[in-house]
Amino acid sequence: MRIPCPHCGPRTHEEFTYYGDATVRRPSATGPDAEAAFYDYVYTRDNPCGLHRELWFHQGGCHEWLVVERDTRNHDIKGAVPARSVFSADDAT
Amino acid sequence: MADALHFTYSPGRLGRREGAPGLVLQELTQFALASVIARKGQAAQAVGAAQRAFGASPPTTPTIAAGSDIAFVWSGPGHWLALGPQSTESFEARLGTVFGTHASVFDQSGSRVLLELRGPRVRDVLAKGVSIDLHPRAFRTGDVAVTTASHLAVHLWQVADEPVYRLLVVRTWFDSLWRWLAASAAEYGCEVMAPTPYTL
Repeated sequence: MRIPCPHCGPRTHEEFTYYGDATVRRPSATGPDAEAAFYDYVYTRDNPCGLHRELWFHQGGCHEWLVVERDTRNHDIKGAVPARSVFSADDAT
Repeated sequence: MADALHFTYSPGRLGRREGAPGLVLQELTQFALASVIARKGQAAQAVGAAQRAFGASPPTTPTIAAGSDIAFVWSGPGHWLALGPQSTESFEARLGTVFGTHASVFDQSGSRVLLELRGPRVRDVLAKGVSIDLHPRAFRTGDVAVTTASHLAVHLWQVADEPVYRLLVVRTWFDSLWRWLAASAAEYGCEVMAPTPYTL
């Protein structure tokens, strides 16, 4: 399985560390359902069949976080983008 | 192959004795090393400051840029390793004055071993532990790879078309790297040269 690092180029997956679902977002700590929302955020994950957006850390390379789109059925990697390009919009709010 | 685990790192020939060595290896010593990491949103300013002061623009792609006496090795977005000559003046202070508030500078001198690798089979040797494509269509003089060699994190770059590569590895990992390198080069013959002072 090869991951196309947007900074380094195509690299073997052994250079990366997997950090799970990239679609979960930290809920508000002050909302009325904060406890349930945080339980969900920390513990519950879908087990999708098909395309999945997930976090990979390029430990053996540029030390950047990536959001990789992977097909869970056959490990086909559709693409990878810097995580900061995905999460910077969230940071601003 | 078991004998390969017992090759000591010292000048001389190891492995196959017949013919010219497939790999020629030389340690480069007496260099100063520092990491330079741009502060958030300050990468362009850091690059500009270095360009004005050193005549070398820290690269934004995996390449190496050399000025009159300092080279910047790409290490990640907004992250570089600076290599320069050893001097009585602090390398960290010299860089810190130039980068100011645009980047954080940390002295890493002495933390790494720098090797120069050449010879007709150098690419075959590296292929046994480096998973990236080093064929000239994919990797050329001036290109840098932050990758792994025999599972150890290294910086690897090409300095001449021959090809000649330089490999920078954490000093405490060198022993492990050497076991792999010696075992990998033995079938082609390996000539270890006496260490020589670093030049750009």
